[in-house]
Amino acid sequence: MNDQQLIEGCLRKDKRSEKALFNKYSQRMYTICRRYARHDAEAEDILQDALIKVYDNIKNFRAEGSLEAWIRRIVVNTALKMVSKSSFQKEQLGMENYQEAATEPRAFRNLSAEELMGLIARLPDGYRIVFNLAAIEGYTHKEIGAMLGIQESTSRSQLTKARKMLQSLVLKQEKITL
Amino acid sequence: MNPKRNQEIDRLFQEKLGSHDSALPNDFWDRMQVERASRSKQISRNRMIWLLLFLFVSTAGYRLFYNKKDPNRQAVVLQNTILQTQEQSNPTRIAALDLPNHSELKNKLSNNNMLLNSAENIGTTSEDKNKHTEEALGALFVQKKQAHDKSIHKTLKDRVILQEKTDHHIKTNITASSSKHLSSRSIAGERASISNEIPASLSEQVNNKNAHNNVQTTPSSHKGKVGDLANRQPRPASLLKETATETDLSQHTLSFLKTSYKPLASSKKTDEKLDVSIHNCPDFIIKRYKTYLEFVFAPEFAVRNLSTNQAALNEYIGIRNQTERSNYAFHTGGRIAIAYKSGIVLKTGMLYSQISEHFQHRNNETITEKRYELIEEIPSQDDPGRMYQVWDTVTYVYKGQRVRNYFNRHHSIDVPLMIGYEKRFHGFSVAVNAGVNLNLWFASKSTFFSPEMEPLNYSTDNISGQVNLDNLAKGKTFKSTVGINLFTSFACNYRISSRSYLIFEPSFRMHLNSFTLPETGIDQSYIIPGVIFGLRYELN
Repeated sequence: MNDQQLIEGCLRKDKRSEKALFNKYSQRMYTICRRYARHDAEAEDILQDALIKVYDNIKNFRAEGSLEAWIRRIVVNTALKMVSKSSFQKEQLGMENYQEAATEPRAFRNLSAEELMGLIARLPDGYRIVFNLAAIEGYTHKEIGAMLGIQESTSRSQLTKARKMLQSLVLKQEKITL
Repeated sequence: MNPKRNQEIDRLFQEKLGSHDSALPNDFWDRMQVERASRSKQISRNRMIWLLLFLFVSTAGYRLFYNKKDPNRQAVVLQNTILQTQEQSNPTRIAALDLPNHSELKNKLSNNNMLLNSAENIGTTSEDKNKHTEEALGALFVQKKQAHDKSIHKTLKDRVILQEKTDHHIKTNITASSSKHLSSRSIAGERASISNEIPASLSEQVNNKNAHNNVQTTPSSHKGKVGDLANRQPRPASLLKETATETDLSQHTLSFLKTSYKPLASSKKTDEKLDVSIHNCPDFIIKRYKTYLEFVFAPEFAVRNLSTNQAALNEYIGIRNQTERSNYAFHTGGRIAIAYKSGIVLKTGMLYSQISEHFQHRNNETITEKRYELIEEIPSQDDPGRMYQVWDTVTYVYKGQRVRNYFNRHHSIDVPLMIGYEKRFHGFSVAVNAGVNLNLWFASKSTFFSPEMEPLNYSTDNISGQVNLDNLAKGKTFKSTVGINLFTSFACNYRISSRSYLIFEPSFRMHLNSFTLPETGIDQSYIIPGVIFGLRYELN
């Protein structure tokens, strides 16, 4: 079934179409949820909420973009609702310990997707969310500020700190491997 | 930090994670379906609550702000009602009073709480003819009422006393001169005081009539004028030529008064009441509503709904549904109903309700041992005639199915808050009610299968009621209050005496909240149709 057929089936409340849509996108969306969530149980909750929203609001889908992008946006928004604003006020801890580390991109290239997920999961909430939004989803700092209710400058600094922390973590991992 | 290096890192993350799929738990789809069903149910419940809330608030708002007491309107309505009542009882008398130059007096006469019995039907008159004229006069009357109360009441009292002394109706013309004197004086005074306040267009009509006291007038010739206040129903042709002079007026007025006062002035004892009423002369006390006390008993049938958002509990719920069934339900208690003239009815009270369920536990591998002791007497061989007692034991073992029945009961005390619309007919009324029952107290004592298929006791008090498989619940199983339940009914009230009614009211209740605590993982709610039987007693 292509996306159009899936949408029409979901509009008719056809269970087969709903299941097909689930099979097609749920695993990819679950990856997104895992990137934002603190643990797998929270990721499952986010995905469940998001998919229910998708089924309930599919009538509002305008074919201006792809269905996957629309679902992805719902998943991201749902994930963000799970994170309180306070996440961005507690992230100063221990940053002075992370020194400027000029890690080459090659170090990340050697890591598998699950290892990268593991690195992201080790980031504090605020860093993780901004890094996901800015580095992976491609939102601008202005958009992130509006989405999270924070200043653009806060978003920028959170991203910088997130990158520093990731590089330090990769460096540490490389040393352990060696 | 090098921006190019950053971009490179971001791109790597995008490539590797953007299209990465993570494996989901196998039961994720099932869990999501259960959650969806639960949410859609919650949405429909919320919609119903909002609808009821809207109805309640809009009705309360209507009662408070729109349909509030309007003294001008009341004055007119009261007057209309009195006149209408008088017309029905004695058209001849009213025909005389239809004269426009007596309308002020009629207004003042209507301001008497002794006529409250006639005011029973306030708000039910539908005549709107000459509405503006009536309102103008009503407003003027209210303004002048207090200033003239004393003089008017004195005049009224004098007339009644006078009439009592003569003990004859006006037809006999006894004390004609004195009544003429009284009526002429009082009417002239009242007319002068009121006509100062009447707008030019209206007072002109009045003055014209004053100037032509002895002119023959007919009610039909004054349509649209002041005198049309009471001129709402067609008059018999014989009355159209009736003459009204000051003397006639006084006679008719006395007749009118006597009729109006008749319920209180019929004996000497009631004269005292009359006297008090006149001197207190309160503002209109109009009975705008009736209060009823209702005693109800409702046999019901409880339809249970067990649901869960944990896929692991689905099988357990199936077992519960197989082994338990609704037995009966009922609610009983008292309600206070306030029924407004507009048909709106508000009800509250206190209700006790009980839901009874039957749990049958069948143990197919029951082994029962029954042991019997046998005592035999055997004659002694050594000592003939002597008997020995021999004791023996016989044991029978029964294998089979053992059936045990448990009756589970959920008790609650609720406060109903209901709003309805009641339509009254001769001898009976019908009403549609809706509202909520607020739960004050809830207690349950039940026995049913645990997830391990053992019959266990569960209640609001003990902690043995551990239902969920993951041992999440560490406390009680049932709640101590169960929130609100929605209520709707269609009531038929049949009058069996002047103040009593029989109630027959098919009803429907729906519990919005689960009886069990959320930690148990199971929602246990009920839909309860039933029929209310009861007795309704009118308090005022």
